[in-house]
Amino acid sequence: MMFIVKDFFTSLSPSIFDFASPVIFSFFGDLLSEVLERKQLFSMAAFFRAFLDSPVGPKTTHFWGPVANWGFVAAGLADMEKPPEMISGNMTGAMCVCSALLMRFAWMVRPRNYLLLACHASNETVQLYQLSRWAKGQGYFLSEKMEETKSQ
Amino acid sequence: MATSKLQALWNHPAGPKTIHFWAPTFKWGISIANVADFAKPPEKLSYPQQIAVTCTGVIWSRYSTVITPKNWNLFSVNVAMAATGIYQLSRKIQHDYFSEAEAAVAKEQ
Repeated sequence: MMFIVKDFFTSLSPSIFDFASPVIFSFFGDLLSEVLERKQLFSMAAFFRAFLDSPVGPKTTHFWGPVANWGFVAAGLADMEKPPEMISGNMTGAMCVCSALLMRFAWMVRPRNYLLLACHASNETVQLYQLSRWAKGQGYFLSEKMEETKSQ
Repeated sequence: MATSKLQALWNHPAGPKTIHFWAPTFKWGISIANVADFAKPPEKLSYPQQIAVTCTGVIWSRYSTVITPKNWNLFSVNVAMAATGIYQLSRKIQHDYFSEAEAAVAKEQ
């Protein structure tokens, strides 16, 4: 079973490896290197111990920084059903710009932070959607004909 | 002498040629947007969003000092984020929970 897992991970080219599933690989990155060095993880306990002791694991701030940023995604999702008047165009627009830059930051910072990358990829999606809702509420997507019929 | 100092800044590992400079620089946009929202009535503020801003600011202030390269620009922007988030939360909490007495008095009059 572990050989199948090893072949799956090592047969992919590096670029696909890095972009395929950043959430999974953020935790499995260090575990994978252990597997490849033939320290096979036979039990769930060993798996979780490796995760807990990881240099980007929950004992370090490299883990909790990105966890805090998932709060933006949660807030965006919680605000999905709210009326567009409650959306702050300022904040949403600023977050669209920042999440794009922070995706690049997560890639270039050392240690490389896949969890942060996943977080800001999701946040970019959510905030762009909220921005479109806000813009629609402000009337940016109305065509001229629709505006004429509205004003009549 | 001035040019060599400027050159040192220009070539810094967290300098303007790198994402380590521009990501925090644009993150100031979030704090500036929050400051612009100081004028918004508290009913229009979002609890989840302001809590996210505050927690992010506090945790990332620590994070920015342990990453490579150490990033004081990022540190300062997250301190500002935490500050604006706390202020917005206090405004909304005060409006929701502590102005009920005033509203009741105004109704009676």
